Amino acid sequence: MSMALLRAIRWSRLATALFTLAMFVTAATLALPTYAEPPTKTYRILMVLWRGEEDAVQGFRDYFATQRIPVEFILRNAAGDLAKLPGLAQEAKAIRPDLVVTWGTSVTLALLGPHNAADPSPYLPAAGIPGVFMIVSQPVESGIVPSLASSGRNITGTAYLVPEETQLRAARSYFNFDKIGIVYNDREDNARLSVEALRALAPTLGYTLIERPLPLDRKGNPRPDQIEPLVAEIAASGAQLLYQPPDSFLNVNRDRLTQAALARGLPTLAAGENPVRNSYALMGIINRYYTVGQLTAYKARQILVDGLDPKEIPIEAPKRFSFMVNLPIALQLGRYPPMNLLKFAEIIENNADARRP
Amino acid sequence: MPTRTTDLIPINAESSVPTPDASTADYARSISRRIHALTLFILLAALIGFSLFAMQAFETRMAPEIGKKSATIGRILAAQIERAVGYGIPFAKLVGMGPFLASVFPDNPEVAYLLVADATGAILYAAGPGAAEGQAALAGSSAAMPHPEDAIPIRSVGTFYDTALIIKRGDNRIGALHIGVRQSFVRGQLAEIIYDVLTVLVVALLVAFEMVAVLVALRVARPMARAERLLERLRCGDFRYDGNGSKGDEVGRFTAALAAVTRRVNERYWRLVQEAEEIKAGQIDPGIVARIEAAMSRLNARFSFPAPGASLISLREPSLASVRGPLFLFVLAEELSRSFMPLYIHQLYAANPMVIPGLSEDVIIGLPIALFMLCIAVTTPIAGQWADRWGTRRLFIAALLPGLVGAIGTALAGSVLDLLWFRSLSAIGYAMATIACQGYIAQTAPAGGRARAMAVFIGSIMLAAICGAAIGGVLADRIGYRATFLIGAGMIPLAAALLLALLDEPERLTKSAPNADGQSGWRAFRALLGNPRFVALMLGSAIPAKMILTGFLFFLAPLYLRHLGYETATGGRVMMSYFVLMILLGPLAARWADRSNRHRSFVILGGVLSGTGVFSVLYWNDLWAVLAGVTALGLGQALLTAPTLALIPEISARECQRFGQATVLGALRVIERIGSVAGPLLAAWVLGQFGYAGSAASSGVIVIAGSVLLGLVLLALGDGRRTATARGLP
Repeated sequence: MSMALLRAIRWSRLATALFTLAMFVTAATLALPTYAEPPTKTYRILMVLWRGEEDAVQGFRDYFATQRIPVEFILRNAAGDLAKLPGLAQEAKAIRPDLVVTWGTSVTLALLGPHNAADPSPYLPAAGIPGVFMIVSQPVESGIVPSLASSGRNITGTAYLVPEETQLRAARSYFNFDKIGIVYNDREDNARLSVEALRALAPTLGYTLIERPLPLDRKGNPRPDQIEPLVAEIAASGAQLLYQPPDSFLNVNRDRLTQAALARGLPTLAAGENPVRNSYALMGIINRYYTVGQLTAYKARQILVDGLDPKEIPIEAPKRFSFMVNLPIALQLGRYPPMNLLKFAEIIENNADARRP
Repeated sequence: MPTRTTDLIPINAESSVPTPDASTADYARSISRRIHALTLFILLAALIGFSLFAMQAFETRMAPEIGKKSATIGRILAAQIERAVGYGIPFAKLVGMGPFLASVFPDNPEVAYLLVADATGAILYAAGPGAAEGQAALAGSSAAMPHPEDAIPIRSVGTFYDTALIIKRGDNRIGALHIGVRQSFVRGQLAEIIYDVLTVLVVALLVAFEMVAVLVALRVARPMARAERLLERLRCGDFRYDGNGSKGDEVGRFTAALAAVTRRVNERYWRLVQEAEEIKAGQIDPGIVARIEAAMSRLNARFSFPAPGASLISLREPSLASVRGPLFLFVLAEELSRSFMPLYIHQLYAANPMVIPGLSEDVIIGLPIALFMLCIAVTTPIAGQWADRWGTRRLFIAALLPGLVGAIGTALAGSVLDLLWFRSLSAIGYAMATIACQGYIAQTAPAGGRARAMAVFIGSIMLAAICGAAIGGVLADRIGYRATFLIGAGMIPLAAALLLALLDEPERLTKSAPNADGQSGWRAFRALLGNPRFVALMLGSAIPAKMILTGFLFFLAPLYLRHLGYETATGGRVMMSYFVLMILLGPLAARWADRSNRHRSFVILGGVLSGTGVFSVLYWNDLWAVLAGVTALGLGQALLTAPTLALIPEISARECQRFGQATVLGALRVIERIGSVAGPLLAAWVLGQFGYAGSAASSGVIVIAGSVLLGLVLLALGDGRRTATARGLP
């Protein structure tokens, strides 16, 4: 009786051991191939760009290179010409890539279309080509996706703007301010949305906003010669900070704007990287294009390699922003960065463009 | 042959010198006293010498170590300052230096100040609690700029150790960064080590005394008692015994020689018997045969000899001392964890949270402590029955198994749930071992010396508690909780081995008290619960006293001290002070209470006193508040413990008469353990609701309120002794 019991116990133990071993072997055989065999297929990615290759594209390509995922890049450049876009869309359909990557709001709208288009057929998603967009300032407001959580169709993408609230709170770790001036082009959606956001934040963050929209010429275009007088008005009203919104017109005229501010001892906080890196803005709290490109590439990989449905991939911005400080401007203004900010800020020391008189 | 018969008589005559019973004990005591003094002297001298040497070595090494750490902190700061200056920011116009320097202090509590001076020695930036003081001290000295050749430029400036680092721009020295550490901080670190060394010293002394006592008892007192008993047997003409003398010592050799003599006497006796038979067989005269037979029967009446061919019976000498060593070790194994058990449970809980609906985190941490107490309470009466059935020695050996499994399991536990299982096993082992020892002492103690023997038992446990709390804390700080548990686990088999080597099973007592069976126990319980004075004593004093002991001292104090940032060793020493007070003042208070015959006053006063100290926690968030609480608790409990026992026969005279005093005291033990179990749970619950101060104060309120209530009830009911005598006695 007891011997039988003993034997039963031994058998059950042996069975458990064998079962465990079997589980291990199964798990090992399942787990090994994914490590052992890299994906052998070469993916074809069409990148349609707005102003040629820059950091975001570099970040995108570097991601695939470091991940050792074989890809073939086909690059097309609109070179800032809206008229070229319908032709590029036609060409994309003919190429039939595994994935199309679009750079900027205009290219994205032309190739991927608005989410609520009455006729989606001219756009690539309808032709079964998945898309990933990047460097789109306002994906929802510009109508590309209904929400950041999901596009609802076979595209996804990345956001790149740091929210205004984050920018201003971070800027306050540099110096405090309670009056902000803004010059902007009322004709641009991005600029208008940014002004609205600043207006809404004013009571919570405790500042007053001085808004100066640029007057238009007879053709309806903003007048660049009005930049200096408006900045002078803002400086005279006692603002401690000038905010440069993500505004294409002002980006082109960044030197005029930031130099005007600098001449009046007014520091500029820029929403974009360019005015800080290549002009006279004091600081920018931004997502670096390179990082945005890498995040976009990660989303592309999720679609191509991992086989995820694009509508399941949320549209996100990079988790960590960069605090850029234009050092020559800081020294010129006598606004020295606090010691704790120096620990993590990206200091731009020798800015060749900014030295330009 | 008559000559041979007469040969034997002088031996008997010589040995008939009466020996006083007390002489061995006196001799042992005087030896033991002298050995104590000598051990104390040698150990003290060695340890003091060692401590002084260690401290000196420590102090000369500490300053450079402080310098090194300060320099590490300083280099990071200086590098960042140099970077900022390198960007072109003027050295005197660095922005945000206050918060920048202040970020160092939370992680480096030893740093008292950070000062940045320019090349002229003028202080540009200052931060830290000792900034103003340090600035003044630095201004007074000429140490503002360090010499570049100093490897680690640490200097004594005022009451600080100042480490200075040069700040450069390019190749130019533009200033210096000073990092100040209070010398009192270094001394505090030293004091911490001195306390640890002293703790080890005291514990080593106590253990040495315990070991000396055991050794003297076993190596001197027991062999001599055996020799004495052997001589006594021989004096009475009994030649059947062997004294078990070892060859290792003089007394043993003496006993062995006696045994050899005994054997020779026996041989001669048998030769005599043989010869007598031969002579008898050769005689035809019945008169001579009758005379030989008469002589032989006279010889047999006067002396006892073993049967032919039988070996000598080994003399057994159960000794009280032989149980002390094993008991001490077994209890020490358990007490090692006393000072950090709640901390260990908390750590396990944090690693692997156990969710029991309705129970807060604090209560779950209190749970294993309460369960331990409960298991002891439940196992104790059962273990008493086992002791009767199996004998004390076997019970102690049996206790080894749950004790060892419990201790190892506790060390390796992964969650609070594991701990609950293993702590229960430990509790069962602990109860079995203590009951076994108690039973052994009860069986071996001479009739009159039962109380003193019990004092030895309590003393051994208290001593182990002192050593355990103190050394356990030090060990836990140095090697960690789990390793300390494993050391405790290692002591348990050691205790068992010692016991096997030393303990003679005493002759089983015929039968324990007739009232010990369960039926009468229950009846005694019911009768006692009908006695309002007894109930008042239980609810007002006995239960609250245990509640504050387990709730405040065992559960709350370690957690609170850790919360205040003290090391486990400090907690152990605070806890030790309770046991020291108990062991020093307990007997004094007992004698005093007996002499004044005011047991009630002592019980009530002790209760009130033991609750007062904890209120200091409400006013100071400090070590001293806890120490005050523990000291008052120790004083109060020392005052009330013995008088409570003395009060029992006074207030429950009828029950004591009906069921026996032992049964009534047993009921007291069972009832007061309700407090032991409830204490940690209640303290934990209040801790979750009102925090540490609230929990400490609540235990004090319960004890004081209970004592006041007891006083009022006793006042209202009058003197129980007289009424009982008047009514109950025929």
